[in-house]
Amino acid sequence: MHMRSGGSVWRRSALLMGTVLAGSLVLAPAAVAQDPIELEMWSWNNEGAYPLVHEDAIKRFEAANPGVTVKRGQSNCGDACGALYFGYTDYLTKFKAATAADEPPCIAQIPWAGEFLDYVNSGELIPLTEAIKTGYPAFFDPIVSIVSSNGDVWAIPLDVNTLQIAYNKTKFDELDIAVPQTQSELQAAANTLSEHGLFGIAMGTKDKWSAGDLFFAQVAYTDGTNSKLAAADAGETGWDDAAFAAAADNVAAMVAGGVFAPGANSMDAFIGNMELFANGAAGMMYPVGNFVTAGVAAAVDGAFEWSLFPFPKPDGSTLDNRATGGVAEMFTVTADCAHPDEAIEFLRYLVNDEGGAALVANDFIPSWDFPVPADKSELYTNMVTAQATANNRTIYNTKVYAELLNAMQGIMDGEPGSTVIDAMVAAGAQ
Amino acid sequence: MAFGLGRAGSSPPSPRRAVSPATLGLAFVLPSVAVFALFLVLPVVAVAGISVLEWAGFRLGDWTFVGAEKFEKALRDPVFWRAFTNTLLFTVATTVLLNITGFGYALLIASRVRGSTLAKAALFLPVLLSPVIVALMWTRLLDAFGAANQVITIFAPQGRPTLFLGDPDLALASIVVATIWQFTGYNMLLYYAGLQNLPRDQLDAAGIDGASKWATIRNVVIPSLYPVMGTAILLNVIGGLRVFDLVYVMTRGGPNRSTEVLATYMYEQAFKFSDMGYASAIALVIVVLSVTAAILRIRWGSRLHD
Repeated sequence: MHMRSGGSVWRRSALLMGTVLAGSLVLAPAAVAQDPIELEMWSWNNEGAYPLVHEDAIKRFEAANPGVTVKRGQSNCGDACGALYFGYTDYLTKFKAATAADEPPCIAQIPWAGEFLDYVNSGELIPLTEAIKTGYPAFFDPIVSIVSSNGDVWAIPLDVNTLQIAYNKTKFDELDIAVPQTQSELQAAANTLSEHGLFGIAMGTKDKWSAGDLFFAQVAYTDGTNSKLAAADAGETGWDDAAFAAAADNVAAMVAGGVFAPGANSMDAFIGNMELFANGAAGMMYPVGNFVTAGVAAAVDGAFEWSLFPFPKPDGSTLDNRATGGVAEMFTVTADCAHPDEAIEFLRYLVNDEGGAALVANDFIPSWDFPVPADKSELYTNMVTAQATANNRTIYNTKVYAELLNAMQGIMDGEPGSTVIDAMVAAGAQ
Repeated sequence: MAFGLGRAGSSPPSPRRAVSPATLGLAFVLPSVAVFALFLVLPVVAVAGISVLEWAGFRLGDWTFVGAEKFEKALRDPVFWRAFTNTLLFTVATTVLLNITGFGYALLIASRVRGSTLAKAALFLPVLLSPVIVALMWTRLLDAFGAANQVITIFAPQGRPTLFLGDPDLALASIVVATIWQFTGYNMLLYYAGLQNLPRDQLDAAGIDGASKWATIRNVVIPSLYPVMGTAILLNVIGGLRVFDLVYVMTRGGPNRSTEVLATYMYEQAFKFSDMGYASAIALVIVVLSVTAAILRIRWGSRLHD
């Protein structure tokens, strides 16, 4: 009896366990499928309309992928934080710390300069070479080369930018100044402005990067092949190349000629210099691209008409005037991301047709050929046109790039062009 | 009593009471020692360890032992020496000026002139502000078209503005001025506290002997404040050696490295160039300089006691 009873209990238990096990096996995939996935996305670009573009892609992606959400900023911050962007100054520090702790965001914006390759070479990013073959647009070839290394693509370029000189069209017309086509015409324009109590080009080089772009604007002409920066980066030519020396000398000559408003090294780009331009104290401002046109328009607030022109070529140059440019926003998928497929899928939403339309609607230039609506502003059309011939402004060697920026600050203080070459050569030798 | 510190002849000790005073003392000290070791000793040891490695700071196991290579690199690196020199200049300038102004304000307030209470609060207020806020404020004041230049223009019309932060010859001095403005109140408070404990009999004796105010300050007040002065100098030196925020926000170490200090250069090496080994070597230099300052202060203190 006892035995039977025990056997019955055992059988019943076994049956129950079997049922539970079978049930759990049947239900498990459903339960896993219902587990919510949250992708962290980090960016520093909260200026202008970038958050709108991001939000648009997130909404479309989340609607099409139930159970997967994209959180801008740190996920442990909770909903109270809303969409969180990190200031550029802190961004790389935070990203590096999170990466070292094996807790990076799945999707991370990354600068196009040398830090990008540090992450690639350290194995912290996943290659996107295969992914971009499906469902991604055909990015411009020069842009693909910027986000590539060792034969692989490591980032998705969202949009591109051009750097040009903004000018006070109203004041130029009033003083009968034509848009400068050469460096001497630029000098003459600055002189005329100065005679009427205005500064020439307002620049803010305290945070250094814009001083580098001043150098790149000259290299666009002194290196007609648009290849020497890449060649020097690869060690195929020296940083003392004549094209670089001429570029630095051009800037030094303009500084000596008083083309720039004083105090560039004590002003942040887009704070101090934008104030000078917007309040009419300076007739021009550099560098300005689609990433900041909304900010300039807001600062000017209709006080005068303004437009853009490429940095004029040096006297005697046979090249056409051209802007410099490159990738504006680019996003990577980190190697520690637990859901790389979902992250790659989200990036598709940033750059699909709707993504392109969102970029154009907010005056950004997609990094692939995208039709420009007829109702777009003259300013936007200007930037898209300039993009077609924009020259590279990338140095991947972080030490050379850093010393270029520092030495360019010296040039803004009146040092000769040779200091830039000396600094780049010394940094390149490290 | 409850912890075994009772008088002899009381009831037999329970096991709990058997805890010796030494063990008890250790138990009290242990949490502090643990925190000190975890958050101060361990990081310094880690920094020393990393300074002999080639490590990009990404993967914990992805490093190469390079011995003293990073220190040799520092010896050959002109930017390191510029940062080192700037750090020493900044430290000496701020230490001297903070102590002179702090002592001067303390004397003024201790003399209880009209408005001294308000002045004491006003002078201490900047200490409570974040250095980043102070740096942003001074950046706006000193920029080419800021308030300072506007005031200068009123008294001396000039063609070009004075580039306080944009001129390599003025930038470091401008940061020193911002530092003095922020931290004078701290030194003032230290000296003011010291002045409250001056030996009354010596001051009275000086008065009876007909000593002038200056003679009293030089021969009685200042010697009595040596311990306070030593502490103030040590804190100022350590603060100067590790300065980062004011420099980073006001000039980013520029123009053209003219305000680069050891801490900003260390930051650049770590987070821009991903050279954690070199950054740690620079950090170790700051630690060694700070510890040396502390040892000198202790020796000076011992000499005073002797």
